[in-house]
Amino acid sequence: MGKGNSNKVVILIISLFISLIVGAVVFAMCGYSPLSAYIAILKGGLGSRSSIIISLSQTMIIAFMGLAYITAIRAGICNIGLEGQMYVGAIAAAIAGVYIKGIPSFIHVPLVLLMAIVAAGLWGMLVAVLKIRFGANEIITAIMLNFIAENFTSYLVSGPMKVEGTVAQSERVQDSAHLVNLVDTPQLSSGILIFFFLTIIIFLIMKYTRFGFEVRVTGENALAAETGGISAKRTMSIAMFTSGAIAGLAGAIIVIGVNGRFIDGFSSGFGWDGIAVASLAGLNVIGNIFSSFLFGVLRAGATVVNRTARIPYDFIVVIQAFIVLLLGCPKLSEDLYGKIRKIAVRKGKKDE
Amino acid sequence: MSIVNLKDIVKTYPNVTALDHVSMKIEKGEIHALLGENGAGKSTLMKVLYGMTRPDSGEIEINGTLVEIQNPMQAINIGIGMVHQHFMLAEAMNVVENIIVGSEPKKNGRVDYYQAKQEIEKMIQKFGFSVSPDALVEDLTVGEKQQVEILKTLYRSAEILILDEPTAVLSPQEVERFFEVLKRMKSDGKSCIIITHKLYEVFQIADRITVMRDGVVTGQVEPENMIKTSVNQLANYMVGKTTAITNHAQERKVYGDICFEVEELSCKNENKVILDDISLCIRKGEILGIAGVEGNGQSELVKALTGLLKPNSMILKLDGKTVKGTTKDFIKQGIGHIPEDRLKYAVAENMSIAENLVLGYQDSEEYCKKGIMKLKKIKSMSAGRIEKYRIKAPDFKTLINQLSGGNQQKVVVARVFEETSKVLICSQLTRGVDISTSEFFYSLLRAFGESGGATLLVSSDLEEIFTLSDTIAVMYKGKIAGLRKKEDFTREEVGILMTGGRLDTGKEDHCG
Repeated sequence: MGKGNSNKVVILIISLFISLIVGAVVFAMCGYSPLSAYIAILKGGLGSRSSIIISLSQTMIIAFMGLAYITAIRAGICNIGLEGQMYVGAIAAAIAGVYIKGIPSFIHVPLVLLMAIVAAGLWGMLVAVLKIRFGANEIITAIMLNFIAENFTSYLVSGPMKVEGTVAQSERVQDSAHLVNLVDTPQLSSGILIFFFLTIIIFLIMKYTRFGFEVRVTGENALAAETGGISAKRTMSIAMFTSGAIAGLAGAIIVIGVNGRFIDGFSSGFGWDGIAVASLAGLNVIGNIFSSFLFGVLRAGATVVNRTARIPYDFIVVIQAFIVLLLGCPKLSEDLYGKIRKIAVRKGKKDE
Repeated sequence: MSIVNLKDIVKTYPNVTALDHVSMKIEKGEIHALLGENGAGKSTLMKVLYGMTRPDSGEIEINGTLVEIQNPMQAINIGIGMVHQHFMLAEAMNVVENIIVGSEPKKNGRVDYYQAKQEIEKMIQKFGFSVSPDALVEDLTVGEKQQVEILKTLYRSAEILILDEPTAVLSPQEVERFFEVLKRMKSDGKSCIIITHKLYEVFQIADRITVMRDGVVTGQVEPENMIKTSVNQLANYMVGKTTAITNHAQERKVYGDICFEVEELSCKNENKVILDDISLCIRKGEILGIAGVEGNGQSELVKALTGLLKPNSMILKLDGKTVKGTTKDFIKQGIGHIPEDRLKYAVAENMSIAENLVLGYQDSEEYCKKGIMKLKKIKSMSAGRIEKYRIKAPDFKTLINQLSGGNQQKVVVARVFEETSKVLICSQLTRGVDISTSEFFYSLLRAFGESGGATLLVSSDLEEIFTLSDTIAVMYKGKIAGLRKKEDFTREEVGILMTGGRLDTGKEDHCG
């Protein structure tokens, strides 16, 4: 077991390393100095207090999405509807945050979060229901539901919910609906505490409870689960509700914690990054924190580099894409690892 | 000169020596049985010959010339063909297409389908196959699919055929046809290697036997010694200790009251009748064997009796009380289930032995209190069962996919036997399991009967049915074609019923 895990880590590091090399080649080909570009990205992501805060803020949202993805895939459903579920949660939070007035903060904030959880949870469960009742492919329905969610919320903040002005966005949420900030800027909200709490809860549920056991068996082998008296359909539905709810919670935190309102198309592919970081973490909820941090820093750093060094943001996308691609073909990294080890062994023998 | 000469083959995997200086010779035109328990190294040896794995050291001579076989492609070019236990066929394509794929005859740049079909028809006639060249593979029986696999190797002009556990999935009648084909291939000068662990079969068909155990050749029987060799002797080579194959036809005590009763069980699927008004009953302590060629409704019968399938009609009673609900309710009332295909229905491969020992009984207060799993309890239970059921594994954390097939089945057996009190529904109990483990399972099954449990035993292995059952029912096309006490049935009669024939005397009603 332990050996397998350490092998995985090595393969991961090799994948990262190759991705960085490929990124460097792309940089060089386009006439930028790879080394100074990487330094700029690192500085942009971790160079100052404010850049660290931005990195952490990005990390938090991505980590939420990773956690949501892991929750569903553990029960055997690949939830690629995270993006849509996030929008649904965010709009529910915006509605509750903007239009409910005159209640104290300690009721308003939980109410907003609850609204987001229920709305996004049901939106996520819809995928499972369509699969179970009508045999619809969950990938296709999830993608379609993403379009519906993104465009319907866009309509709402361009029409009925639109604030005066040119930008398609909702009004600011009531003060009573604001999440407490951890630092002086709203970027790093106490949403990060909610994330850690959720991670621990899900870790404990998966490891110690009967429900977690049923989820894992269903994900590993739904037929064996049925033979063991576990209703795979029920388990999958609950897992999809939970997954959607977590994604929706992230949306709500962006609305009441980071931006203070629903801004049209606010997600720059957080849902997709979530899938990537979860895979990068080997579907481990703890590993998810670290892989999310990597992506968060890259994202934040790239934004800064884009502004200062006029290096396009897309370079980071190239690097991220390569990381995912290499992880998608573990054989490649494994072969490389095997070869490197063989060479090392040979060298070691020579040295003796 | 031997057609194949494997010399001093060594193959090691991390922690295991799979082949320890193994040598083996195969003569032209012989049927050579490679006998051994699971994990003895016989499959690895054949993988070396077929180029699927490279040996650490050793030499292979084909027709006296030294060869290096680096991949199956080379093996095929040399004239070696292999039929795997799990078939590799495109279900939606027909027999001819499946056979020629990869080596299609070409004419003006197009596939010459007509010529291929003619050639294949000739081969079918010559070797006595029964498959039709135009049939879609998905419509074929297991036996016919195997024929397609064999034809595939013959079409690529294989002279040396390796067959991995070829009879594991066949009905007795299909086995006979298969043996007929083997004999014809032999008289055509082809050499066949059969990997098997079925002792009796070996005597029926093989000219020469090589026995392996723990990566070493432990015994070889030359053609001239075949008559002098006994089954027990071969078993000793295989298992390494004196294991007399016990005679199970012991006197058994009279069994008790009716325990498990099913009536009016009918099941349709898209207007196709799968189960047709089945009534059966099992008394306490009785083993009811269900014989039949696979695909005659046995799987659905088992699923209906374990709550996995909702039939159109069924009255099911356990100790006089009606059983209803989902699989969970069935399990709670004491109906245990050993499914036909363990990897598909019984275990989660990437989970530990301990977790798989709990699966199905996660609701029991033994293992779970208020939704929290009792991990300590589960650990100590697992450690105990690993020992009691002789599961070969370092510890209870070992993943199921790290175990051999036989040990995986032991996990399932341990779970079900320990937790089941009243009724046991088991299907293909010993498929892919070696003799000593099978013997162990048989003794567990008999002990379960002696403690008053009722057993339904579905098996496509007629030997197993006759060895264990008190009463035998034969299924054919969703119906019970015949039901008698074991003593009143001969194997021939069961064989006739299995293939749709009729017997003069009617079935008796032993529950009446």
